[in-house]
Amino acid sequence: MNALRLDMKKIIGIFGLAILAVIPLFFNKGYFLTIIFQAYLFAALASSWNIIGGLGGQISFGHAVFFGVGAYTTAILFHDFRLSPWISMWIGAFISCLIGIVIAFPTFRLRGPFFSIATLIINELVLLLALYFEDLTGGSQGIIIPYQPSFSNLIFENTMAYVYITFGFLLITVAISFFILKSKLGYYLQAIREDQDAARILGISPFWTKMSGFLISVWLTSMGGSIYAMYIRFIEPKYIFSVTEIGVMFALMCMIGGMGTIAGPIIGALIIVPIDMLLRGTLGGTIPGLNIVVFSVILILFSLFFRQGIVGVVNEKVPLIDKVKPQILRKNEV
Amino acid sequence: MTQIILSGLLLGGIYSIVSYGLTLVFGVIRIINFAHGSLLMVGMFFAYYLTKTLNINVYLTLLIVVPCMFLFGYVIQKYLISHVLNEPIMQLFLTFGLLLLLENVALAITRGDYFSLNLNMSTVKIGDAVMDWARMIIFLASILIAVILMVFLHFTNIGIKIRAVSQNRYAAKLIGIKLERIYPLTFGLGCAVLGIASVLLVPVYTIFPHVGFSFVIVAFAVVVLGGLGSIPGVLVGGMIIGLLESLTGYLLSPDLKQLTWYIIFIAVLLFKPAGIFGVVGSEEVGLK
Repeated sequence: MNALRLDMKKIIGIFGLAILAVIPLFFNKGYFLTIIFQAYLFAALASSWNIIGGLGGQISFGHAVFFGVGAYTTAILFHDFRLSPWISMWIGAFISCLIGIVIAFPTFRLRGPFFSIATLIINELVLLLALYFEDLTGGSQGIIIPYQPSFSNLIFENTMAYVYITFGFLLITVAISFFILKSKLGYYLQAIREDQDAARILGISPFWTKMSGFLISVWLTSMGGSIYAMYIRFIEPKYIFSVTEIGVMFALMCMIGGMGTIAGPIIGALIIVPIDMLLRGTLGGTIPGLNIVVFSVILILFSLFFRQGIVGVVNEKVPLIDKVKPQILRKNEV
Repeated sequence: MTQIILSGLLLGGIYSIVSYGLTLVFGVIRIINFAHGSLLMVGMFFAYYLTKTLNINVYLTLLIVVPCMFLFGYVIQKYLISHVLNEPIMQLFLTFGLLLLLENVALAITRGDYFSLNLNMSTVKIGDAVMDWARMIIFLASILIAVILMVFLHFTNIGIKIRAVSQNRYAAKLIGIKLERIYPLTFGLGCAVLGIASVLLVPVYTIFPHVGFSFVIVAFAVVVLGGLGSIPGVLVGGMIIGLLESLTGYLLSPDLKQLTWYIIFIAVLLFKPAGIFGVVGSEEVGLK
């Protein structure tokens, strides 16, 4: 099978993942491990977003909905029924997919930025409902998950355990992204991203292709939300369903790393999360918001000058790795 | 009940006055400007500081804020957004970056404090309903701006060019309209109108760095509901959303006041994406 043949790119990829696997062992200190955990989690979540956003070109700003549904399902089921997160994360993912289908029917007809605006509004709608139904979600008080460390509870004393569980999750999302990229679905999604009308003429159903990519993406995002809930053990709607801190973050990480590539979202997250958290500790401590100022300047520079992200820049400079141009939705010029 | 409807209409006035700028930018240049609310926030802070330092009436700051906002918008379009004109996805990222930048620079400067101007403006009674003057002024200004913009867009040379560009930018370019001149002008004009809105909002709203985000969503809803680029559409769309919010808050629950218009907005995107006053198909021009 062609997809399994080794080439330069895959060797570099496997080597990179191996480095990620050993990094936590060298930074075995509380704060560093927290950063690594968040970086890996966001790498996995950005990769999940990338399936529909980068490959399919459907820039969803509403993925915090599924992150939140996963987090809340796990938290509520554990808090009320002591159900193991290992089980409830599947229930959460299933609920997320049902919600995803409901969202897909009205929004998949919209194109480009209109899809983004619609998903943004749906995100706000869900936040409004989460704050309103206090009996279920605890409202703005949030839910505190009791501290009962055990493997089946997915609560650990040691952050290292979270780091490796998240790393496993990252490996799963990378594997899924890889097989989608090499499969028919991946090519269909890219065809729709480049030109939906042309793709349709070739016999691709835009709706069902988007739906498949979207649901896989939703499923993984929801799982990530479940892991996050058990790690942070306190969730409240304003943060979990936040557009600026969660939903758009996935998109921004993909964009900075390189949209539609496998390495892009991971590189994006591994750069953004440590910068953000380290600056928050230093700059943000003295002057609030300064860490995000740095981040937003990076974002503006990338959207002006490096539209193909870091992966795109590297590909251009080091032609030996890849000849295929990565993803950018360049529309016909005026 | 009269009170509910009247306050809904006044809220609609606020919503439409913040949306004129977006309908110009979104409707004419086709920029999805997420930084719209942050620009509003910048204007509000500017007006607030001017009032405090110069010790003048807040409405007098219009004379300074509006030209400055025009220049600010002109510069943003000319030096930033013009680089991503044909790339809608990059526009999303760029304007979102601007949103984060403006909000967090404001946060760094103000250290997250809340500011409000206590004007103690008198209230006015209409029947058994009570309203404050600040909101009345916004309501009247909103109608006035709609009329002025309509006259400007229909009877001046630049206005007609702007409308031509909004209808078909390719054809407009063919007949010799310089897009690279019209775009910054339109963006500047949008920001100038937003500057008026920001000054008028200062007596009504508490100012803090994230005040703009809720207005961005409202403004998108108003613009899409009314029809892209349509000035009367903004007025009507704003009123509809204001009334819906007010009525839902009263009939259902104050916590759910935005619920109905969120749903109606999604329904409009679905069934009549051109909006109430929009030209059918206008929503897709510039995206293909």
